[in-house]
Amino acid sequence: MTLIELTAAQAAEKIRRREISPVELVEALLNRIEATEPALEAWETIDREGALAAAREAERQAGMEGVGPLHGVPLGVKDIFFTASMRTTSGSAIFKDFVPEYDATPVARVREAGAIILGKTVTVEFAHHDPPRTRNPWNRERTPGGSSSGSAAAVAARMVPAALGSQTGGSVLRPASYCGTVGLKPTYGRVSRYGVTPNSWSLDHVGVLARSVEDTALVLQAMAGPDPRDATSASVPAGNYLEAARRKDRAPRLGLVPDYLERADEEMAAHCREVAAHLESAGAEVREVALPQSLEELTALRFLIATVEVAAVHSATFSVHREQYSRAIREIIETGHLIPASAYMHAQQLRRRWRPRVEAMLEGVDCLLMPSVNNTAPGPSTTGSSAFQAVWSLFGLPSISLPSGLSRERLPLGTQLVAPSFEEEGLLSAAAWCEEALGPMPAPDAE
Amino acid sequence: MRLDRPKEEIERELLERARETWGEGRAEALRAQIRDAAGWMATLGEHRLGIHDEEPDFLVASERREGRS
Repeated sequence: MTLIELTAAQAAEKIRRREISPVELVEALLNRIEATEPALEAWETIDREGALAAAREAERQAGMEGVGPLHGVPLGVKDIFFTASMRTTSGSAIFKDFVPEYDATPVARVREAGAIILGKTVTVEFAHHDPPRTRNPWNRERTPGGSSSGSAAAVAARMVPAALGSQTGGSVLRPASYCGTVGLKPTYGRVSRYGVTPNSWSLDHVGVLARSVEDTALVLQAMAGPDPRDATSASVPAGNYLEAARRKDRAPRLGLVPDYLERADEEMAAHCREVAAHLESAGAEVREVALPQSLEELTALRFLIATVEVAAVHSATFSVHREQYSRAIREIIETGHLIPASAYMHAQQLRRRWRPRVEAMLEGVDCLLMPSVNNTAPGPSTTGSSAFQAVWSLFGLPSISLPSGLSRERLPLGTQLVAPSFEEEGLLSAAAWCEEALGPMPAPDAE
Repeated sequence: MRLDRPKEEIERELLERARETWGEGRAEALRAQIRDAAGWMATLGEHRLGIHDEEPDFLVASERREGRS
């Protein structure tokens, strides 16, 4: 196996045993970026010198007592996470030269665990949905999805083993599905958003994109836990996610949600049914579970809340820099200003009313099962639809997308699992079991 | 603004607000977005909420902090 093919967990283990050098690993990934970046445009900033300096220091410390679980492992970071002394543009011309003075908490925590930040990956403008310049490694004429566009493309194209992303509607799981990677969105409040440019306060989550369930657990392990600097950070202590992802001894009980199959395109719906049948034949228990409200009602709830919150987040900046906003986000901000506070509060009341009904879907099953997206990656004028991922962002439930096959056009197909709040261990364990049952995903021809 | 109305009525009211807030040109540019927003509001407006019904969700963040979601 070449250095660029190593997963984060494999690289960490080999570095710990001094079988590979962090410097050689970073150099191999930088060479890979040099070869593939012109076609894919996954990176906003590549910190070549900083990454090599950190790798040399990691090499000096490799094998010593007390090094972190990500020691010497290069990661990408979506360009909405603050990085001390490294540009953080949030995908916006307004912040093209902004250099934060501190690291966002998730960045600080992966650094503390020993990770090397290779650079910043392209985000859709303010993590919204104006199309990015990044292309899908499986087909340059298709979108990688968004808003964690560069993170998904870079991980799929073997430029980096894992990358940080964020999700307000579907911005981790959708690009993961379109690019054929694993994408994990933990429970709302599980990972601090301190130092992460907000999109919609009550919907924003930090997530991970990687090429294995184990790697998403490894990175989550480093990031998870309370943070007094984020008011929404949960006080429950983190679980043992890595151990959970390595525990594949129990076949999960899965709740297939037909509402999504009815709204998926024909190929995606058929694929999800095949996945469910395959997992059942491998030992999983599969039953059908219906959404308690229509997908249209849940989608309306999500969009109304998000539209008002986006307008509020951007109110001051928009009043000064209106012309520097791209079309889609500008329209959302302007519309959000028109929606009365009473309508927003009505939506938040319904969110509370419907939350227990949605959570009740998980009674008697370990995870819900459905397609990650309604289709394969569309053309580059859109980042795709968040309809299949957004309900779980709305209610803060942890979700993960697994690459589960290729379409007739050789585009990745993704399968989504959803678990109860703060049950990341169960989610990762079930996902690892399904990952093994589904078999490995091939690599795209990204050059 | 009452939500338990046909979406066409809500849409007209939002368009009027858009003209007042952003001007005629931007209001026209926002037509599709406003139509969507009116649809969401009408959909949610079908669910009546009284004085004694649920409090807004996000304001009670302490439940999530303790892990009860």
